[in-house]
Amino acid sequence: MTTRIVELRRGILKKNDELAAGLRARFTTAGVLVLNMVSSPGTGKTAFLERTLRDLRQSGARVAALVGDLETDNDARRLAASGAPVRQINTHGICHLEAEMVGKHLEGWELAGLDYLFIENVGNLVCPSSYDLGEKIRVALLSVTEGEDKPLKYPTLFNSADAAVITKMDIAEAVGFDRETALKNINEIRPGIKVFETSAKTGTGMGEWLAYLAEARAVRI
Amino acid sequence: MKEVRLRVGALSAVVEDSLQFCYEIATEGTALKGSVLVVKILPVVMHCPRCDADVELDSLQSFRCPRCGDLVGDLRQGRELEIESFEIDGAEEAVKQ
Repeated sequence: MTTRIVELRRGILKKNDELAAGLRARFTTAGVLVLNMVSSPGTGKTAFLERTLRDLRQSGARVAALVGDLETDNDARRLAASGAPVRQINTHGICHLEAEMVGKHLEGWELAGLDYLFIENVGNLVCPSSYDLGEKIRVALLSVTEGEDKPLKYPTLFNSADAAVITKMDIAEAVGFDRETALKNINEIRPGIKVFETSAKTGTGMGEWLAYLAEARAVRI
Repeated sequence: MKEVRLRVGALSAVVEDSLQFCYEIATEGTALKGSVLVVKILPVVMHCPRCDADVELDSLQSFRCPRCGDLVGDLRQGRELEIESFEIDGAEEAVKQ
């Protein structure tokens, strides 16, 4: 019996990567800055985005959001209260968003009429790291209640991030958050990354975050 | 199908044991049934500007050059997730594929 070896060298996520590349080209042409927001469940992605959408809209920016969850449209309803167009993506059991889901949920939206599009990923620090959604900026969020070693525990995600956001800074003292260690750990996994220390509740750090967004939009598009 | 070979980067969020466990179940009743899954794990390779070299990390706990200790951000290998090749029994069958 003869055997034959067939060389393939084919990426298993090739289809997603191709769809993501197509989305990225569309976003660039339309001039919209797209961010993929990733964190554990409970970090406060939705609260942080509520505040971001509200503040951006107040500054006159045109914003929209896609929000991924296994079930319910609770987060979409929360975000829509900002007045921004929001769509919910229900993955029905899938633990991450994929480029195809994003593409499908953009149908009918005039991308050229947007300055910023936020994609809130499913709460998960593992699988979303492998799926490109066509974003320009991947943001990893962690809250002060999660433990300063989160970046060390999830290096695949933190190493793929372009920016990091620490949420719930208003309760940092009460929960004994070790700021120095957290910042050091983020930097060990993703050297030089920009880190924002924020509170959606009090508005701490939002100014710096919004300035970063404006600059990223100006530079990257 | 005798064998399927994968190249999996250490930063690709794939656990080999889980992959092997699923492979047997997923291939049941398909042309891949009974084939062997060979997973080659690729270490993370970063470029170190100070050493002007591509260096291999021995842990994912710290992205520092093992030679000079500098933090390094330029990833050169580690996110791969690809089918490298497969091996088929019988040349004739292979041609038909």
